[in-house]
Amino acid sequence: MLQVTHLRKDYPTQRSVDDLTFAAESHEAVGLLGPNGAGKSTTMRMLAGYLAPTAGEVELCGLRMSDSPREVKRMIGYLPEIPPLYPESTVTEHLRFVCALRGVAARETARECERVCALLNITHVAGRVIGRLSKGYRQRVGFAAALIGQPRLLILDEPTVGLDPQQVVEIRRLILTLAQQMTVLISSHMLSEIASVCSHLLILNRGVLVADGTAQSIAQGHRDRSLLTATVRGDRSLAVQTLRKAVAGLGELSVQERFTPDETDFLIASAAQVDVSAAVFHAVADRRDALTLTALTAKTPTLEDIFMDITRGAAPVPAQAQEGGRAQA
Amino acid sequence: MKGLFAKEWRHLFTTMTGYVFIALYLALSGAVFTLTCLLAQSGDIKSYFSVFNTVAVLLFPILTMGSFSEERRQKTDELLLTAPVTLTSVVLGKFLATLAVFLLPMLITLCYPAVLYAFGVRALAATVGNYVGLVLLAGACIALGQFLSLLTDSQFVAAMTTYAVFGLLLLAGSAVSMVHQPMLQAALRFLAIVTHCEGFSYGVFDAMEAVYYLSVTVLFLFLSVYVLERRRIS
Repeated sequence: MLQVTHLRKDYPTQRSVDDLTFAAESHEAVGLLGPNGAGKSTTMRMLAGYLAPTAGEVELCGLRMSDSPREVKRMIGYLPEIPPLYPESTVTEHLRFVCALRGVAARETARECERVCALLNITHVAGRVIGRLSKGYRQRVGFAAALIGQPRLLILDEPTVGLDPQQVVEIRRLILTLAQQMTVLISSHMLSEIASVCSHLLILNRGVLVADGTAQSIAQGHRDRSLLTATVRGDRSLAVQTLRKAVAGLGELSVQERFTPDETDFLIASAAQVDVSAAVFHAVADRRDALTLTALTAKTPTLEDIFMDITRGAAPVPAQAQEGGRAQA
Repeated sequence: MKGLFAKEWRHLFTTMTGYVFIALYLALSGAVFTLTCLLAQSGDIKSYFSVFNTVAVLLFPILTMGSFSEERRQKTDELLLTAPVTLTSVVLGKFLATLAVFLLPMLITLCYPAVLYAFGVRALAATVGNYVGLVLLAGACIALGQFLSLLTDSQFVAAMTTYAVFGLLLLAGSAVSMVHQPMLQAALRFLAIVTHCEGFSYGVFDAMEAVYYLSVTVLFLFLSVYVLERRRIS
């Protein structure tokens, strides 16, 4: 249904998306995961036709975006992170305008507006001015606008940001219902949200697709990794320095955020056959004058751990540096 | 494009911009007509247009300043550019709606030649010529103003830039008589956007000047489409 091939987006100072290739079937919910700055929004903007890719192709139902942009766009509903709404319009005026934009026949407009208002439960605010609605309602109006014209592909960029828990549950339910009728592509950096609605996951890191599959298949691919959590009491910088030295060459150390003044949590990822627990224990024991190991636990990697493991890293790589690196390689 | 036209038209009136423009247009044109024709006891409609065309140029930024800058600020450009419509229809829809808002008070001012007609002044060719010249001038100014609005996401910056550019174009007209270098004089005359209306003011359809205004209009409409497309690519 949706076929993305070697998609790339270069900005003047950096490469935002690099060689992204994936496919999505009809009637499935696809989750696009990644940390902030991973290229999720840029990818979605390219799929929606807002940005032109530097290279690569987006194909929907056999039609290429570059050859038939209007036909492809007609099949796509897109809700950006900030819903594109005219604050001075009423909900009905806005939805009618979107109907006109998307080529809904004039005689069908009223019925289409009623349909999407009912789906999003906003019929009772249809006559109200958008600028005076709460953030939650504005999000729903944007969602309703994205559903106009019954798109084949619905692209939702962080659809639940800023919503209260009850609204989040409602939107998730709606996405699950919609995924039975169309392909839904959702981006988020919240794993729980994606895991609860998506059967197919794509994980982006620094613009590169680092995992593609179901949650199970991605976890399966990481069975060769073992995870160890360690909690160390004492000076934080000394603890970091000691553990870094201890696991050097054995695994990768990351410091977990926990707001306690005297304890620091660490996550150590290593190859399954390597036992780093002894090295950690001895390193802390050697500094027992200043540090105490209060917990050392082997961990079965959860989806969150895998995500952290995959996406661990820093800022995006400059485009020129990447080109240069390839040229040298 | 019909939907874009209707939305832009509605937007200009729900945000009060249209009402402010029409009120200022009618107040200033009424004042200019009173001073140049009624108080001066002149039946020459040309004297009204020779002043009002300059005043009108300073009114256009009210209509154009938010045209694209507000879309960018509110992120509603994402709605327009991901819709199954061409960039040309987005630009044309906005342009035609803004031009239509301008035509509304201009049609009301048709009562001025009617008043002169009542006093026995019959200058149909000059009247039609001046109105045609004003519409062509409006088209060029609106296209230029909308293009400048496209370059920023601040309505204020768009307004200031447009006033600066229009101010320079008006100054170019005044500076023509001050320079003696033929090439510079020709360049200033070319840039002086209002003085190209002079041919029409005598009731003569000047095809060269019509082509000038239409060329400026098409050029800036084209540049607007080009900038939108470049923004998509870069």
